[in-house]
Amino acid sequence: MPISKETQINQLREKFFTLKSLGFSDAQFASALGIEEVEVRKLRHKLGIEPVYKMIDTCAAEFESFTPYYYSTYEAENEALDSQKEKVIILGGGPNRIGQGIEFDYCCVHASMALREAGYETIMVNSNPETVSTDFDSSDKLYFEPVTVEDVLAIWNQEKPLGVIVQIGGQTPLNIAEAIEKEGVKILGTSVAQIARAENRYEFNTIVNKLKLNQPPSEIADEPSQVIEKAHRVGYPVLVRPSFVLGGQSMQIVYSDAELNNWLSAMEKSGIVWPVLIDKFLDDAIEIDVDAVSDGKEVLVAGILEHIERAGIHSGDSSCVLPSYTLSDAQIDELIKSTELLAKELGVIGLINVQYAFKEGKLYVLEVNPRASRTVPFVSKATGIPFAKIGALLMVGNSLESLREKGILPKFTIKEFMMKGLISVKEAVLPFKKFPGCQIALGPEMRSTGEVMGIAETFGIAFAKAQIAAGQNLSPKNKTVFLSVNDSEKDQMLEIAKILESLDYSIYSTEGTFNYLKEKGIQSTIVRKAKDPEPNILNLLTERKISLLINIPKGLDALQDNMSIRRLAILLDLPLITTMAGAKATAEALKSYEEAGRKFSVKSLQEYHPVC
Amino acid sequence: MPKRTDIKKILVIGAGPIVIGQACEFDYSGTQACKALKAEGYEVVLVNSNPATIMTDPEIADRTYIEPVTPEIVRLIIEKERPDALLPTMGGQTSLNVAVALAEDGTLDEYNVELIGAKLKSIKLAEDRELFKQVIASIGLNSAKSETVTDFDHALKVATEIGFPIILRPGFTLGGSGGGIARNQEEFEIMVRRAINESPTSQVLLEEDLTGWKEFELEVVRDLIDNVVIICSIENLDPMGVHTGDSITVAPAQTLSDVEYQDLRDQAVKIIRAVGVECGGSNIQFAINPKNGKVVVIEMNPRVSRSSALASKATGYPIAKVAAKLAVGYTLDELPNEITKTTTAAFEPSIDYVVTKIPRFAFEKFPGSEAILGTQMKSVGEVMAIGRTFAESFQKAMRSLEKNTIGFGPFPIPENLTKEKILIALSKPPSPDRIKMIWQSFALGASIQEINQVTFIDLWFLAHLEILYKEYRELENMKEDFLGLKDLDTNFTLTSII
Repeated sequence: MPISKETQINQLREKFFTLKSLGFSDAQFASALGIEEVEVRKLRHKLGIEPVYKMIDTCAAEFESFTPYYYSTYEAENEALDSQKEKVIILGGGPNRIGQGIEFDYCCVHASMALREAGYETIMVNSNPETVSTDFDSSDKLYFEPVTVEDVLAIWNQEKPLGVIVQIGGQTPLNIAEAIEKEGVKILGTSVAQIARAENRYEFNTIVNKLKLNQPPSEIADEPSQVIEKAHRVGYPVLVRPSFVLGGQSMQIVYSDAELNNWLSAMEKSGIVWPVLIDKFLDDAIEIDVDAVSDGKEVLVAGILEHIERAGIHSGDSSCVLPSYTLSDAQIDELIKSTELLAKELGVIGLINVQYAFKEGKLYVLEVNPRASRTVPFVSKATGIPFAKIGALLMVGNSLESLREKGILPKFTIKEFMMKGLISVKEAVLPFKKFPGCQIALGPEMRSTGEVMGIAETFGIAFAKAQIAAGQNLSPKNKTVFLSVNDSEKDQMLEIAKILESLDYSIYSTEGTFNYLKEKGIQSTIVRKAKDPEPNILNLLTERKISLLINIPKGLDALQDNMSIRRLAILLDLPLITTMAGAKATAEALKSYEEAGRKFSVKSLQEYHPVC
Repeated sequence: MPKRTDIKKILVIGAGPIVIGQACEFDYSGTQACKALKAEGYEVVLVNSNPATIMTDPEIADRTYIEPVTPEIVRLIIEKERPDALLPTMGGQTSLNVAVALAEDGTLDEYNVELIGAKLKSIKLAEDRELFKQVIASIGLNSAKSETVTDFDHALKVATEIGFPIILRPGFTLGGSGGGIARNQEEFEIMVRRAINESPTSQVLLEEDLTGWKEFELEVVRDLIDNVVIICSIENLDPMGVHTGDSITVAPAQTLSDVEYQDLRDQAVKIIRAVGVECGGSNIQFAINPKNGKVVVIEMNPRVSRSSALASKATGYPIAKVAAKLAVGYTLDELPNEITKTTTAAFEPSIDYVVTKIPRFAFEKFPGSEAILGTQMKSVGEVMAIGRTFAESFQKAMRSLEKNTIGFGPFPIPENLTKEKILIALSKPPSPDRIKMIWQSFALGASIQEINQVTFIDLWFLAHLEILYKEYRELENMKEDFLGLKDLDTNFTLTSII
């Protein structure tokens, strides 16, 4: 018997519903049916198939529950409670990953706190069980849901809030911002179009030119045949990377045609996406991160962080200091002015982060991110001003002036803060030990999982605290250092060797370094290189005769030769320093630390920042 | 019992920087603990070197020290602040280690600081493999057999006691080189000589091989008058051999019979009492041999852990907050359940949904290292999803991962891949791609039995995954039917279906 049209439609609706209750996403439907996800959504709405929300109530509905902690499913009864307050949705960052971690959770929780205090109902959406943001009392309502277009739209339809905050949860909310906006969601703060503009290479070039700022010379290669020629046009060293990468993935600094060709063939094997971006690499430049907030009219610089390592190391992996310690007053003014120009040009409402470099006194803009950056919590702790909260309040329409009047924002400026004489150092923590066989070197791709902070009145002590907090042993029983530094940086090493000698460190060195030191009147013990026959440096490490390693080779081949030393040092938890800037800072820190009799004074945040 | 009034100031130690294995779950637990203690009127002093945490916000504690979490520095803070008590169970292993060091070097006695939440004896009991094994044996339970050897003759003797297969783990070698699994005497003799040679200290840990056993965790909370509640059971989809932090886990446990589950409960209660965790949360891990149901106790964490964060989110029961209040003398029946407002913390949560956690990896950032999951944790983050069924929560978790996954499949099938090849690949140590590979196996015609034989993943899970695979294929075949609905001019409502 042929079935009626109506029965067939109902059977299909039931099938659709069954699949949704098995967790199939609109995107999976789209893939199976060969249509766009938006089309699936239209069809689903037409068929009357919408998720409902259930409460996490600890008791399987045995008792009545009042806590709006929800998850979605496909069933009959909707347990979501109605509310009449003005609501704001905050999108969280989803799973932690390298490059997007706890810092963004911090920003989301702060946004929720600030908006709650300001009288809004806050709605958190996140899928990460490790976080404070997914604690049911961090917000008025918690939706423990995937941060995807489908799931966020459904919550939008359920709650009908004022808008959604996408700029503080890392890349995750930004990735879906355009799509949800297209389907009717209002995004609060800086517009999606402006965020996209800052990320688009061509648009970004236009902005920088328009504002008469500088950026490193750069070229874009659309196919393999153009790469070498364009690299020559820019001039070695160059920083190459495929466009559309996150966290600096597959980025490399290359110094020659040969290295560039190696990179290209490796990229082709892993399936490269063209075009490729080729930037002039600013060798030996000082990198700076600037965090700021803006209400669309006024721009307030929150923090100026100077990187300790030279340019070329991902900002998430380099240590940095606030306030900057080598920049002049005029340079600080230039940074503030450039940041103001960029924030205004991009119509920033909320947070913005700009990465700069000073090379030979000239300021270059490297990157503009009109969103919360990884450094927001660090800057907030260093200055005592809760910038994530302020950013959130700006996004719902407050002005900086009104926040000053309400006493939420202190009246001092960044330059006035810098006079306070308080120094904060941030150090990254790297997971090399967990990945045996991996390359142990800092580079343009971020690999750190976490960070620590050291606060003190002097740079040396602040840096020492950060190193100790990161797990380095700065109080070894026998003070021995292994020095191995390339020829071009030996002069810089001399100063470091002198400091270590004055601190009673016995120096071990490889042949080249040994001869150089001898010439300069510094005594050291010669050690064979790792590739030489035993006994060599590896034996010394295993016997735990070395308590500090400074290993700074130059070029990829030399780096490979030194990899076995680095791997063993990591395995044995020995302090390993791989950059000259890092070595200088460490020497200074050791000096301060030893002079202080290996003792610190400790002070609480409440003592450092009495206002907070 | 009401809260203690003889202590006024409490020092809480945080976990320090985010590292693999000790991540922001300890910000969650530490923040909860500080807030709970402050709300009870105690003066809270906090030390943590991690500025990116909420717990180090100046309003969470009364005094916040962003200083290195080392015994030397914490001693300075104790000298300055003179707290009455130290709560060491909220900051992971880092915090416990510092507390143990300060207890053993006499600092806590010198300044009259009481350890609350966990006593030195029970911390050490749970941490020390040998002592823990003795306790487990003393209450009539099984633990995995293991012993460290340094010479060949001793190794042979230990091997006879443990029985084959045996896992060899040489100490201090790069990536555990020289280690492996010996299936018989002959293999063992060759491997153990090599392992002893490879280890710079000649130390080799020999362990009973539990690879492929089913793995479970129980989150347990105990108060000072010996009430014990089980907050949540968690089942690892990945069998033993993969670190819990790297395993896909599901709550509540899905494949246990009630008898088996009650047995685990009883064992957990016995263990927390025997180890003597007076009050607070603990996590206890078990392995069950799928062939004969034998239960082995793997380990216990006498503190709040990654799993307690997951269990708290999965059930709505705030373990860290409750544990902090128990540490100052409250009992479970005195603490209200904040979700229902009418019941108390002594009620065991019951849940009518399923929670799936999937870890996220970052091997691509570390070229040169092998993308293999083993007993050392490698994941850098995780997602959790909630649904009415395992299938629904699993698919939601897959699409939360942001690894270009939109659910359980579809995944591309490489042209030259065959069923035989994919099954061989699945029989090797698990990789982060194992879920994709299971989907591909279905696509290439493998049965759930064949997959179970190589992966040891329980048939129950595989059967559900197979349903999802088949439903997806069926949906593909119904393309024309569904596309035909697009032109309908009626709009339907949900109620007409259910």
